[in-house]
Amino acid sequence: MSATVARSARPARRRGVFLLLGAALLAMFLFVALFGGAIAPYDPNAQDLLVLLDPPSATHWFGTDEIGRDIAARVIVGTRITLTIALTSVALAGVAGVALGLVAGYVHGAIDRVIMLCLDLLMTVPSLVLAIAVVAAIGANAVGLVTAITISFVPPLARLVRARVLELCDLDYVEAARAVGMRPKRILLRHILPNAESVIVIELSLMAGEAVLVGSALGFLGLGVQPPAPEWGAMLGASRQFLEVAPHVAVVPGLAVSLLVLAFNLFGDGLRDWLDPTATT
Amino acid sequence: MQRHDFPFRRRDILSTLAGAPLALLAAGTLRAHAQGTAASSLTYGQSTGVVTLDPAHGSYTLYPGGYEAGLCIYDGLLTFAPSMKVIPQLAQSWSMAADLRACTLKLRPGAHFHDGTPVDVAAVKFNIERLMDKQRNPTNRPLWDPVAGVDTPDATTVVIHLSQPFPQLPNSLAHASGALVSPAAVAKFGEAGIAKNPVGAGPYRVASFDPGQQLVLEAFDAYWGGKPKTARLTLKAITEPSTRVSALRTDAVQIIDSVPVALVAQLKQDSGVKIIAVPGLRPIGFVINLARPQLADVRVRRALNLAVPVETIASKVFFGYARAPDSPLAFNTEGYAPVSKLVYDPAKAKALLAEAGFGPAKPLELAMFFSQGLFPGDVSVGEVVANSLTQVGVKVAITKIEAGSYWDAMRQDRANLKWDIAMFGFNPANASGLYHLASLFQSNADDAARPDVWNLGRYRNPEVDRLLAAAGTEADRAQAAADLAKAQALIWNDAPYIWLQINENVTAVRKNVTGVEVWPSLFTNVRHAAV
Amino acid sequence: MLRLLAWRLLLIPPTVLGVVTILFLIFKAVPGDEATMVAGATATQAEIDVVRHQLGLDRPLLVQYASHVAGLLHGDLGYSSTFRGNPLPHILERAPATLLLTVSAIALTVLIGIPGGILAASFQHRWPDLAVSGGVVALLAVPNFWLGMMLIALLSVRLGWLPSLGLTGPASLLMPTLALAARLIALVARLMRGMVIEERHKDYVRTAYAKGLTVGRIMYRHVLRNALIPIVTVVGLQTGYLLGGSVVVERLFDWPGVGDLLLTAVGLRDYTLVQGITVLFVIGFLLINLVVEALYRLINPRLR
Repeated sequence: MSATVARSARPARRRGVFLLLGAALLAMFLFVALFGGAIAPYDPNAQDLLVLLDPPSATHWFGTDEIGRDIAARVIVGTRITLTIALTSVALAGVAGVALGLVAGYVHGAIDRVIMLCLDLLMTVPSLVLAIAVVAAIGANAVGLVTAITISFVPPLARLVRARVLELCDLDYVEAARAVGMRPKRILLRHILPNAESVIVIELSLMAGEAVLVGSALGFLGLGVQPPAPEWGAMLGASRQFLEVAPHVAVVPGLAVSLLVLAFNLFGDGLRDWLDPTATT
Repeated sequence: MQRHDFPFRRRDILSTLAGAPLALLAAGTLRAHAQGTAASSLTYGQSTGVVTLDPAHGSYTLYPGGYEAGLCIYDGLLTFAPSMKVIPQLAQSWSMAADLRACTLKLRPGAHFHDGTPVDVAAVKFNIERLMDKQRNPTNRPLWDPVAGVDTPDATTVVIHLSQPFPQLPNSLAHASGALVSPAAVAKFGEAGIAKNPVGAGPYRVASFDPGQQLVLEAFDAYWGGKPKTARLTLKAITEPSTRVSALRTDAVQIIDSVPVALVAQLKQDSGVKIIAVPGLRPIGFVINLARPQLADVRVRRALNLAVPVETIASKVFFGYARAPDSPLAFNTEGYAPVSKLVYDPAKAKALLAEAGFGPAKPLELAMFFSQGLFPGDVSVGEVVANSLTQVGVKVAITKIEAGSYWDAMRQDRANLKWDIAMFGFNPANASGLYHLASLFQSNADDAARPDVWNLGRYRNPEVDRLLAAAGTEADRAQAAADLAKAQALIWNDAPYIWLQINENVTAVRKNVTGVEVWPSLFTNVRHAAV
Repeated sequence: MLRLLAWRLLLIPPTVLGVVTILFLIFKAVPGDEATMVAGATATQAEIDVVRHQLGLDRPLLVQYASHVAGLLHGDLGYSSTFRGNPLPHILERAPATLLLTVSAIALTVLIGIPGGILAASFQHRWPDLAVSGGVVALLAVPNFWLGMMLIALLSVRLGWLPSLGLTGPASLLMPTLALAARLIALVARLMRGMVIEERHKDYVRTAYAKGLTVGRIMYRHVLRNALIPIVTVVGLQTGYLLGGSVVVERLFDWPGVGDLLLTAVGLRDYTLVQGITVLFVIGFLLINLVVEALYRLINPRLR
């Protein structure tokens, strides 16, 4: 059952806009992630205790945090952390999910059932709760964070890939290839995977947005990377106790998260419109 | 014309079915959380919940919530005044023997426990023996180990015998763990049952107890000191500081502790609220792992201290609700003697580090541990200190540990210590400076094993040990004080810690509430609170 | 249909067992000694060993697992160091608050999402549609805890209209519910908009237009009848989000629910409690999916 707008409802010219806009935003974030250190107005760890919790001013455009660090600098430098964690998780989940989905969908039978059973079990745990449990076990650091996010993304991706593979396996030429005795690996790589690519890429783009949300939620809860890393979620978590006296500390990091997620969403939606206009997933 | 396909009917049914339980659920849940504001009742929003209420057997938990509840439910032979001076309670008077190996107390007649049994010398003997017994009372051992036996020569006299000279016995008796429990209750509920069914002789008895959430107390009419003015006292756990503050402002609670210092300025402007701030007994610092070779050099340790702007931290990060120390002890601890003020001199710090062989070519690398939520402002202060050390060329790697596993990480065998510096603060709840110094700086029996008490950094100074032992057994109290002062000076100059701030304990109450005592030992005592 | 539901109901216990097993393995693999953490910082080695024996941690792994599962069947979740015993009563005590929050979120989604979607479809491509669609895009990108913080900053701190934290009365329910429901509202509105637009292209509508009749009432009867579908679909697909999101929202608003307790348990390394609450979430997830499945078959006659 679809959760998106009927295709016919969107005028054709709008489809390209999303993709371009999303791509442009992502490019901007990538740029900031790569060159953040050079752009930032201050050292993100430089503390000035005399101006802590100062609202935005000429010297500190977005104000200062609870120990006098420049928020603009921290948000800029933090881009790399967020992007790295999100993209790494998505990449790992992609590899694992696609592999599992391919195997399950193509091979079918007992292996499929076992894989799906394990994945379905994992999916009954709400993804954030699962991530929290994993971080509780492994520890609150970059590795734990990436592992947690990856684990919560593999099952749905594997399911998706498997469904697509099953669809493709139904096609005549695939059946023919199997009948002829073509090696499974060849079939997978030459016929199945290329036709599943668009679905996978779209899903990964959208998952990247999800990864940013989950990652920043974990950071907010204090289960993210170690201080003094300027991770956006952790900045939001630290700002919470000062909402009454200095709400400005919470505004910009949250906007950054929203904008990045928006970028991934636009890009993914746009990609879907472009690559797979008839899809209803 | 509409017959079978009644879309609205099905929808209506479904929505009502959904709506009714929702309404009931909402009403029920909201009512369960509603505040009861009957006349002559007060609610205290605590920063930690109350889970167990036995002076022995693991003592009151959580800290400080459990202790504060204990202060309302129990009386001890002695207690503390808000100034941390020891004063009588169930004992009318006491005197230490000349050789400090015995203490004679005169019991107050006519006091009763909540279950009606009398507080007589037999009950006192029962309790002291329970506290002495390592099996039944495994906690707070330094306070009770020296107790050897109890005699009751007559109906109002109790003599406590000590295995060694122990001038701090009155402090132990005044400590919350010295509270008297009804022997009949122990017989009835069993040794393990008191924690959830406390029966004491204090002004309040337990009406209902939901561990970790809420404790409702009602006035004990037969209290020897007179029935308390407030008929009903509710201790409610509100762990989130902002929630506590907003609950106070809306009069949902009338007393709160541990007010976040960032909000004090704002709270002061609220005309319905008054702030009570008292200097605390708990100096915070970073304990230095002296087992590490690079930290064994006193110049390095002095450099670390010179690099940190403690005054600025106290005045800025804590908005003035903290002070920089000038001794390993807090200002109002018994036996405190000033040594010297902390100096902030990063240039000198760099010079000392260079002298010790560290510099840009070979930087000092430190693994820093701190908790989140165990000590005031721990994360902020930790980050400030890390940055300050970085400014003088030290490389700091931070590990933030959740509160639940912090102690485990701290109290390890020497070989398993993963930290070079770790945040720590000790609160001597019996206000005794000797107890404080002995707990933190007396040499461990075996440095390779876990520390005996809280000498986490494996500090070892035979002269300090000698002075502490002398202060503990010296009959001449002036001489003992002098010994203690000398010990403080030695420790201070040895710099086994990066000394940090001493926080004030900030409590806030509604303007019309009186009788709330904020003790330097972190406890907010509400047993006399009234509107 | 009843047979299907009964079968799904029966599948819940083995599923829970599977999750319990996975969690058991994860937490046993964790470094750090549970006995030490329960015994406390000041315990001696002897005391820690006593605790280890009391908790049964010195038994072989398989025995521990078996006894754990056996205990679960009696409602004994194990020894929680926070509550010094079986945490189940404490967990159940906090459950109503979380239930209130999630149910209110669903209710708010119905109240705002459905009309919002209809509004957007009715004024397609004009400014109400752009506003709603823009809102949808924004709400799907915004983290719910940040939305909550902005709501607090505006409605509580700046305007003083609402109490900011804790469960203190009906007014305190609004912001947490809004923060949690935002994503669902966006998804439902989007789906609803699509459905109404699709409906507009149906034959009976074209016929009515051709005949010159007003289509409003008839069309909207069809639409509203099917309005439950997006709700049920979204709730079904987003159950994980709803339950997981409630954890963060509860922590932000200091809402005394189960999610808040979960985070406390993680902070205290109380794995028994973490496990117990996770299992509760799983049961909740499965039950909600069951209800969704049942409702879906009920309202969608094509699936009967």
